[in-house]
Amino acid sequence: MTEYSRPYASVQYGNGRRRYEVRENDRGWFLYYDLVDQLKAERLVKSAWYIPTAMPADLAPYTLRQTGSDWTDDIVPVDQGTLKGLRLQHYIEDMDFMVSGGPVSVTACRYFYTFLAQYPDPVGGEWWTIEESMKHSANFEDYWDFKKSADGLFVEMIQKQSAYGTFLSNQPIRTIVWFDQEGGLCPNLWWAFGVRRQATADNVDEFLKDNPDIFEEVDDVLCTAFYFGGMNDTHPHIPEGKIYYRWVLRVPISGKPVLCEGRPTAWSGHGEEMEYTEWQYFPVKLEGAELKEQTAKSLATDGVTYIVGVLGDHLVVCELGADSFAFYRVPNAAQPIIPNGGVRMVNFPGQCALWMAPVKFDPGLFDGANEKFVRLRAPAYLYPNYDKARIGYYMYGWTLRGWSSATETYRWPDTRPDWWPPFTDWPPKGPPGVWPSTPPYGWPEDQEWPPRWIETVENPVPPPPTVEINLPREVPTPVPDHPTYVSGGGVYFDHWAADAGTPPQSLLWKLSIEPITYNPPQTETGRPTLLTHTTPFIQGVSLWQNAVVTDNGEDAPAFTALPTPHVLDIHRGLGDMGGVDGSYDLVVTNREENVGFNPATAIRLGATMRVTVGARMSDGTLNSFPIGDFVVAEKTFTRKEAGFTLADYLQMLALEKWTDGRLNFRLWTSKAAITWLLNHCGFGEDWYDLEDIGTYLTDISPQGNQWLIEPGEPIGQILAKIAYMGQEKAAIWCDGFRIKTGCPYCRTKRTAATLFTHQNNGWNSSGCRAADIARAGGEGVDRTIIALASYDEASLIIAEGIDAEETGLRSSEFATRITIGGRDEFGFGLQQTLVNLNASPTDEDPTADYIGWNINHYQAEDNLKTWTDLFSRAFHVFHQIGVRHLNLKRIVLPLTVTEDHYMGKPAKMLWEGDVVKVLGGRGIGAHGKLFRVVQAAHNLQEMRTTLFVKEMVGPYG
Amino acid sequence: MANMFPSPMYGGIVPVTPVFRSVYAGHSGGISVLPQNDTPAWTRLAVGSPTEAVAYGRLSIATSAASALRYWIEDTDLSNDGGSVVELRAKVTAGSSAANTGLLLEIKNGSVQYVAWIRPGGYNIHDQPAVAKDLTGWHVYRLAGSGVDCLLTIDDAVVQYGHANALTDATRVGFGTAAGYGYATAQVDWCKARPFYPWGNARDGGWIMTIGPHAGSANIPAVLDGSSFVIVEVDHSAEAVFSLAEPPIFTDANGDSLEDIGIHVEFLCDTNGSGFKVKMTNYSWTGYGYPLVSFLWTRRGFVEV
Repeated sequence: MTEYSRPYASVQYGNGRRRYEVRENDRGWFLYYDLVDQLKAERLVKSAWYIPTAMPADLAPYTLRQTGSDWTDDIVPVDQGTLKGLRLQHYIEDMDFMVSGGPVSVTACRYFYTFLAQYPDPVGGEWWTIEESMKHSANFEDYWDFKKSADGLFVEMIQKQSAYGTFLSNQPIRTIVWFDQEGGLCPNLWWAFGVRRQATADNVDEFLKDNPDIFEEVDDVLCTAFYFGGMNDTHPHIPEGKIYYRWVLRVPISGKPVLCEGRPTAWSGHGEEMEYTEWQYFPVKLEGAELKEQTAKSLATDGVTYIVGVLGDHLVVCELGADSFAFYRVPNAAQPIIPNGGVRMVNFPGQCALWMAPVKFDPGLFDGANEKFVRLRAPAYLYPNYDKARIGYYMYGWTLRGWSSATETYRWPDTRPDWWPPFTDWPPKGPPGVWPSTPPYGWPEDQEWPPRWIETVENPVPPPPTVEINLPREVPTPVPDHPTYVSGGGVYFDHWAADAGTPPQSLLWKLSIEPITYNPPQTETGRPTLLTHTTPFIQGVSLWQNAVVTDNGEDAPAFTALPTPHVLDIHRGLGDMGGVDGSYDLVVTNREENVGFNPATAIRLGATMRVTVGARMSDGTLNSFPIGDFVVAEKTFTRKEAGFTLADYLQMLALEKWTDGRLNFRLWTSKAAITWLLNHCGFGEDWYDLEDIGTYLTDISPQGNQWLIEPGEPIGQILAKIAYMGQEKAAIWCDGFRIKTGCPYCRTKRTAATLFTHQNNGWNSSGCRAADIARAGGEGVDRTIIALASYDEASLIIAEGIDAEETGLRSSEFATRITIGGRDEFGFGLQQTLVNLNASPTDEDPTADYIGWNINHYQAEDNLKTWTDLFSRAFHVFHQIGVRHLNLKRIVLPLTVTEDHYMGKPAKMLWEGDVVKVLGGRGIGAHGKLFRVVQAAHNLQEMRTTLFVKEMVGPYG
Repeated sequence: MANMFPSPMYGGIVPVTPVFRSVYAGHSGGISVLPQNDTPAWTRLAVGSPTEAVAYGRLSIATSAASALRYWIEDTDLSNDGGSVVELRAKVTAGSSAANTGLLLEIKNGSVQYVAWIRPGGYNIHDQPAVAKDLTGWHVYRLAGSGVDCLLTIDDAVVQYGHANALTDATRVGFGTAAGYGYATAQVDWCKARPFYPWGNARDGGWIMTIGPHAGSANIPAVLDGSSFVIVEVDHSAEAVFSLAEPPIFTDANGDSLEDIGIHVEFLCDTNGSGFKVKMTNYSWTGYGYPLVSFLWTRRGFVEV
């Protein structure tokens, strides 16, 4: 067996093209457009209808004839606080026309709706339905008249009676009109309601005075109530035969309308068996435009019509004809904000004219051939060009498009956790899979939100009782959704060259938006379906041109050997936000007597240097391996020597700054974003090796600018930011040949399944240990370092010196309190603090955690929007730096290309992420412990390796 | 930053609607391709020696009086009831100038076909008047049809209404030039087709209907020279009036074979929308006497409403 003789290093240089590159006309770019801002700046053109004045009655419903001789925009911008985006123009269409396309013998509302009049029992107060007021009664028309409204948009449903005579007294009448159908109405329904009150019964006041209990029984006293978002017994917690409504807009006889949210207030049973036995309505605060105050007179003369609907996560209300909305940003209800059940109008007391109809988003007259679009008004000129074959695009906003069986999406599971407060309907607000920032109604006052930890597969290691950390409960895994009957709601995007250049230099684009229609078949009744509608709400558009990466071949630089280096000094380590943390220095001879070849002048800046290191064995053979291809970034030279400062690929990306447009990686996967940037910078597939943990770069801010990158930011910095902030604190580094992302400790590529095992115990996390064993075998130790020569004289890995430290001076190294700051979708700051309580009680043991002083680490990341995000980051950071550990800040070793004299294994250097075990070193407390390499410096000239290592401990040992 | 599902219900990436099912965009797999090399491939119909090329996602074609080049693709989503739209972004820099010639844009929806013609100096829907307009620059043309009606827009402005010009069983869209219908030098940025949006209403312009089969019979005097005939008049106006009708189809009603007894059936020219006439001539052997011919007739076309 040959023995190790001496270290070996060789360098080749190549002045040719780099292996991968993007040529000038192949470059990419990125543009993000905030649509409302663009529209306000008159940079977009909207599609519109021209409605001729003379449109004949049989060709158009009244609403269109009314707007004759005018242009009507298809798409309307909304910009009211957090309510920002584009919606489709809404139309009220005469329902008779809508259903039949012409005159009808029985008005459509009489056909579709259900009618009731009720009176309170003069003795018990219970409400009794008057049979004659129902459609099947021969006397129906004694109670009801149907008359086209003056504006032609509605049919007024006039309830003509004000009182019902009983054997004791005349009782005031409550009027009810409701509508539901098989399959329900459109989720996030847009609907119009209206009322005009007639004379009230003379004895109403007297009746109310005599029956004070009625106020406790009825939600609808002395108002007209518009209920919408019905939920029937198909809901798992609603009793059979009951319908509860999520929302009600109450229009009092005098005063402003009030929007109320329906919530359970009493229940029976538990868990899946629980049933809501009582449901009440609670007012919520409307923002935005003020709704007009109504009076008895205004209600009795003109009446009032309201439109309710949903834009994004806002419930909106407006009066008919108004330009702006009163709105409520719903903090505590899941999508769809308006469930897909029925609607109901209740008026009390007295005679009234009621009207209601679905709101449409398409006039329905023009064959469906048209598109509703916004289009760029003037061409966008791009550097270097526009090549439509390489364009990608995203549109951002809210829609129900994903709520159809055609494009499966995800929702919260139906099963509510046992501990979920019964006061709040399940599921919670927001995307499935994360707890919302707002606690649910009825959350116990003595418990914190989010609730405390329970053991899960992802969090298998329970915290010891002495460590106080807040851990959310398990978040249910989202389940696929299979709703049907929704059509439309998508978008279509066109782009084309705006000039005739070859290649074209500019582009125009057009974004078309589809209305959403809900059309459940009426299989049981065989009746026609009343189509109901809602609108998408679109915020932004991004489009980008992918770069074309040319592969010049692996040996494209055409390598030539350099003289043996005088100095080859390689240093690489972990930065906390990625690994642009290394230096590579090379010195070779530059004597002028080397006629015809002086490295200083023969090697160009940007040339590629391939570095190989290893060992010359006693029989003269080489045991070597290449450690990287580096780029000549700087040359310093004398007549004797030429020095080259080399850079790895990631370091070169610190020099390349983003200049190619408005970059916004909103909702890209973090891996896709990193890959796109690497391709943009001319990295082919052999130049990167990225982990994929399935994380999205989420952004729920109204502005959509969380991942908007301003020009001028170095690409390397953008990559590090995406990896750290968007990919669970991933490390990004260059291993000499490829840019890699992976675990910040062990440098393994994590997956979504193994992610939490790489952060469950800091430097000693279980997934990292498993990866160590897979890499190094045995107990997962790459090298054993002998701190005392007598341990193993045959070993080459005998430390010349070890400097150790414990530090409390750098809060990013060690802290007793770790606080992570985020910001939720309402703009509220979120904060999660984890405290090492072991550091608080007095303990004189020198190995104890007691410090006696607070060392606080604070880290603000506004992209952390939810408690789940925040917890995940705090958990990770706390485990990394929340526990005292020993740093061996300088271990000086012989060059670690080998493990021992005999080199049974191929030569290998120690690099960051590797594990070393120290034998000896009792005086510094290092004996027998495992340490993870954080920085490694290899000096070929001095045949020395210097390491900085951290003790592999976590809060759980 | 989370393993969060970016569902558009919660504010996310809105799915692009693949409403245009038949699309030629000039590129596929990141490179420019001719329509016949697209995925799926368009069928190429060439007469003579036309030229074609594609670069930067733009197709260039040039035909002459002696050549034609047309591309089409099957699209079974297109229907007459549901309505169909085909959209073309093109510039026509040279070509023929008469009506019903030039660069064509066509829809065949399984019942009828609509055709629009684009020329450097104007346009028309087939058999509609030619309208003068400089079309040598880039424009987006949209031909939309349902029932018997169609319309043509240029850059989203309606420029002409027209009608279907033939019945067809094919479902396809196409563009290019056709032999006998002029020629063009043109560039095409894209051609794509879709049904009407589901939320749109099809116009109430009529629909395809077949009436019959109905039985009839006639006695034809027997003579040897074939000059003996009867003219049968059928009036179906009580059932339907067709605006665009195929000639009636005659078939043997009782299996005694119209051929054996030597009957010649000739549709007279006035097969109008409310009825038709046929002339039945007896070429049989005289021994047959006065043959009683039993026949069935059916008729298909647009019912006028």
